[in-house]
Amino acid sequence: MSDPQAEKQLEAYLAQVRRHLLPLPAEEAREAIDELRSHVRDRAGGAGLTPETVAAALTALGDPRSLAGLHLAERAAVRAETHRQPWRVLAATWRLAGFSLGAAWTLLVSALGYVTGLSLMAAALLKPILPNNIGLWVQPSADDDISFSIGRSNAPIGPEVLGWWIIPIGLVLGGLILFLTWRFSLAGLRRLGRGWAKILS
Amino acid sequence: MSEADDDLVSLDRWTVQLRKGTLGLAVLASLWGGRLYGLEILRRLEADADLTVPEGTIYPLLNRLKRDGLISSEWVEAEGGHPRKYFTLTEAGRRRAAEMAQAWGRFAAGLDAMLTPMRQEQNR
Repeated sequence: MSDPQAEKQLEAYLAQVRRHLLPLPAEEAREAIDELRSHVRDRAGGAGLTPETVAAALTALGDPRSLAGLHLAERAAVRAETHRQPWRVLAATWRLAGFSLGAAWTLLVSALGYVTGLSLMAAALLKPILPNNIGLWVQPSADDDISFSIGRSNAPIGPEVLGWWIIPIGLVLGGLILFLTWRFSLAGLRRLGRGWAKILS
Repeated sequence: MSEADDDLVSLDRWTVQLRKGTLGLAVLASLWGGRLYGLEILRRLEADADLTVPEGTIYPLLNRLKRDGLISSEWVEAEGGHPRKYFTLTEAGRRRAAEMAQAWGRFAAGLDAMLTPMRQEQNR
């Protein structure tokens, strides 16, 4: 009953949507595509799929990337509410980073934050084990500017300024940065999810 | 943009917010009488509530309601051969719809009371 040309048109569109749904689990993406296929067939009605009915349906559904974006944003919103642990938030942001510039930016900043926070905490924890290699050294450079280095160094140059203070400073500052990075990444995920609510207009 | 255009834009924005706030209730209400599939829900919203929803947005919204446990879905073979996804209110969905409808009724009654003097003046 349906025009093969029209079927091809529909499947080509759905393939594009499917590509943009890659961040979703396969089962969810498949379900979303099946829903859309059924929707277009319902819209075409008893006459079956024709190039005209398919074109009208696809125009009404809109651009495949935006359509896929609705599903991704909805998932981000749900994740932000149900999975708040730092690694889950990071994993969810990672999945969305390929789709959204906002997510990519959030991922980058979060990665920097986690690395910085973990480095500071690692320095604090390693100090008792490697007291001469962990610290903050002031290294006067040739131009009389002061440059700093922090962390594990096999051949430290210049005076070390923190001593054992690096332990509480590293733990507190590192912990604070980790906490703030977690909140930042959670807020980023929520922002992505709110974008989905905006689309209902 | 002229002042008139600005007014139109902010009225539009307000209307959009209003629709966003009530869309969930409208979808649950559409399912009160029995199961419907996606396109039927869209048409019911348009016909009964003058709510035009962009077609692509209905399915993520329905997924959200399903995740919240308010509706359930099942695929059914339709006449013509293609499978159709029907949505039904769950018990929790019926309770929530009733609660939301009550809250909406109270809110609308209160707002209507406030608007009466304004309407009377406009009708004079």
